[in-house]
Amino acid sequence: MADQIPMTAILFVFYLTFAGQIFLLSIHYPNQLANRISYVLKNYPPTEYPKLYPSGFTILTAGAKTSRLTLFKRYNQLVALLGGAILVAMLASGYRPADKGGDEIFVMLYFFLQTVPFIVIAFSEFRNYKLMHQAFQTTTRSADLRPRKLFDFVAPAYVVAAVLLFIAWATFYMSSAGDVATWTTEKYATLSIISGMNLAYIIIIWRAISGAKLDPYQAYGDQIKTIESITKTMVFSSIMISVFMILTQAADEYALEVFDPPLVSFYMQLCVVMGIGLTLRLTKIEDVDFSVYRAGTETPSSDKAPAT
Amino acid sequence: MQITINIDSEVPLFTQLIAGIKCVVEQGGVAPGDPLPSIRQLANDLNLNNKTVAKAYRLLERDSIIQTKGYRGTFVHPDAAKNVGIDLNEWVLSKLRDVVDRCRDRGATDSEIRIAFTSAMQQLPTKGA
Repeated sequence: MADQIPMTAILFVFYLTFAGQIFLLSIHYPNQLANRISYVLKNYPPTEYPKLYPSGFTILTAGAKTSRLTLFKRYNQLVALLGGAILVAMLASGYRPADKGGDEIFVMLYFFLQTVPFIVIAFSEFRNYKLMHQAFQTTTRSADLRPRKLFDFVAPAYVVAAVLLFIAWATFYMSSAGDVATWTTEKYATLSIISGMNLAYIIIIWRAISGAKLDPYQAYGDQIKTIESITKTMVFSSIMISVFMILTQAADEYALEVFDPPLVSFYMQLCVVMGIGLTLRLTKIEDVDFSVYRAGTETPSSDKAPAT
Repeated sequence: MQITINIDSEVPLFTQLIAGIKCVVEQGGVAPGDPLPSIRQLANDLNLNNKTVAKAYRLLERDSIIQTKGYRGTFVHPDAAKNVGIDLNEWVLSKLRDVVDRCRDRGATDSEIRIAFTSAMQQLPTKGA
């Protein structure tokens, strides 16, 4: 079937999605994250907001934080340049994606290179929260008496879509995989991994809704926004993984593996948009209540729920 | 519609929780039939052990302030506003005072009363056993 599609069209789709991947993951989102960190360091200094910097933030560590931020920016610029160089090299050498697929591995490798700084930031954020918990010394604690439910954070239609798409993929996969008796370990592994991922999404959502806050000082309104962003990210991730699996299965069925690299690139971009993008959009830094991190704040306004 | 506890207070945490929820009911912060957070949610929000919240919920259910409807969750009891004024501990104390007074009037010593009370508690089957 791929023979009927002109190679120019296939290459156009691939270059477009790969350029999008370079822009989104190495330019757009790193810039947004760096601006966010700079905004916090500039507007909420450790002298006035010591609880935000639990490890005894000094001028020395402030300098270290700024230099780490510069390193983050430089790394992303370097990866973006590398991506651009790969694109130019492909164009110059007249690259043609393999008919039987397999080239998507290079797209994935480049993606992992792009995600390294995000993973480092996530780990350092967790470390910071851990230190915050150790330093948390308030004697009064408050809680809202309203129960939190799944549909307070995500529309039922999305949850239904996620469930139906998972069933649709599982049915499609099992029907195209042939008789169960002839299944290889790979078939069982794919089915188990995707089911396991969906189970993990459910556990993450359940823990976010009823679980403890990562940041002990976090304001109630901010906590709700965090739960909303986690819940939506997980539900959309489930939808996307099902759609992606259906599309790759269809590509295998109809001999369209030549589209695997742009498909993988597009899927990973969607994951980032729905993960980092959604979080940045739902928790705008200007709207975060930083007063809870001020020195001498005894009861965290964290738990001051809006009046009903 | 929020409750506050003080972890440095001498009052046990589950007692503070009971008092807090009763206070919200009394002030009309929650209406009969309103859903309440799960034990896990409340325990996590207050950074308490699940067992502490479970104990408070159990005692509130005994006093008909809240009611648990299986997997559907915990709700404010229809008669919560009426029952919130009843203090079971106070009622037990007044009944025991009355009995102790009558025993002393008949000449029983404090030691005899204590032994008799312990013996009565041991002889009576535990409720729910």
